[in-house]
Amino acid sequence: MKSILSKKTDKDRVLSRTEALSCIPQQNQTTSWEELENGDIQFTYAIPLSRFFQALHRKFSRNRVVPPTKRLQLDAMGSFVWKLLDGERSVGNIITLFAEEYKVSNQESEKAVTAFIKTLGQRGFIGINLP
Amino acid sequence: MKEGDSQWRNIGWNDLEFQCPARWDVIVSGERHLLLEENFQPVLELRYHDNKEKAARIEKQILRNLQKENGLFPHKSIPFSWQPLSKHFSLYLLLQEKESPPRAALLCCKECGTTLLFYFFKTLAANHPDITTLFSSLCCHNAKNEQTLWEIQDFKLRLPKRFQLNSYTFAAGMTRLSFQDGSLTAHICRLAPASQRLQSTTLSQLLQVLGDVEIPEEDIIQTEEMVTHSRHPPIYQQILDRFKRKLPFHEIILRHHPKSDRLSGLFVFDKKPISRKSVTRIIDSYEIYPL
Repeated sequence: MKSILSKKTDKDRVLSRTEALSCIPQQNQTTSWEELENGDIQFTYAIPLSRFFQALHRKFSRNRVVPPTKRLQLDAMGSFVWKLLDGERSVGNIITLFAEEYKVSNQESEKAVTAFIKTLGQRGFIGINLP
Repeated sequence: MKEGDSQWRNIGWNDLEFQCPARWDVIVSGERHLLLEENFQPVLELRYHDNKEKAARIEKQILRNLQKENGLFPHKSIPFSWQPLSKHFSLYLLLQEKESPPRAALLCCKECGTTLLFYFFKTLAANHPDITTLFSSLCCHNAKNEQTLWEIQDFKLRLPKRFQLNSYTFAAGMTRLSFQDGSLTAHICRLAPASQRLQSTTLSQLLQVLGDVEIPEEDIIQTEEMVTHSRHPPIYQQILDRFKRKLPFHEIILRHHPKSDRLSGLFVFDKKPISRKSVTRIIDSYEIYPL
């Protein structure tokens, strides 16, 4: 009999490729970003600090209320994908649009887009709606 | 055959050539393992093996294994449209149950002994005309031609038959195929999109990064859309390189294809002088066409 501790939750469920491609990524509303003049996207996000460094920041920083932030600028390809994350398009649709825009094969587009979406998800910039 | 028809495309991979519908994506899963997809859904899986003399024995062994492990047993009768194929191949349809649609097909070339196993993801009826055309276009041996066609994604080139595929990478925006021929190592690469790559770097810088070589800028021969470098070191330098386990001779070329927004590269390294003629022949056959 399986132990209750080893029981897999819905969170642990591994999606099939078809399911993963029909997922709908959506921009996180709390993510702070702006579009630069050249069309690139720039994120501004708080740096996660340990308690020790938070205490140091509170003690020595000029602006003690606002946590320290970091900026991250996407290139043209990343910015193109970010603008497509509207909560309506599926990963599959985004892959197809990316392949058409940059005239690459679906296979290459899938690799690039899925890796990028994964990174955005790990950083908490997007959420994924399961099919 | 449908040569030149935009609905069909040629595929050349590791001693095998065939035509498939242009709407299908061909994904390389192994040295002799291809997956054909349509709209991200698998249609056909192909595994093949060059058996040469042991063809008949291997054929029986594969059929036995498929029956034992996958419950697929061979069916004698084949569709009428596939009858002409029996001239070149021993053909078996593989069924799960007696009256069920075929799940796979095993083709054994009567001339060269290559065994090809196709697995159908959809019912055969769904893609029957496409699969029939693909089967009739199969070419696993080309005795007349001394070169092997490599045509996948959006590029094609012909390499000498003695070049053996060593490794490959199909990364996002970069494809690399590496070949070995004795002490000679050849790398083929194709980068996309070129406009993005050339935004922050020059062709000659990319040449050095891709070839993992350090060359003074003035030694690189630059033309409008091509950079190239040949290395023929003196004997003492060759000895020094061999001590460092480096191949002293190289012929490296990187080209820009503005129309298709691609970069194509050929990097050949060897411990002995490289024939300029063979490099030119490869470069002449190396084409990139728009998707």
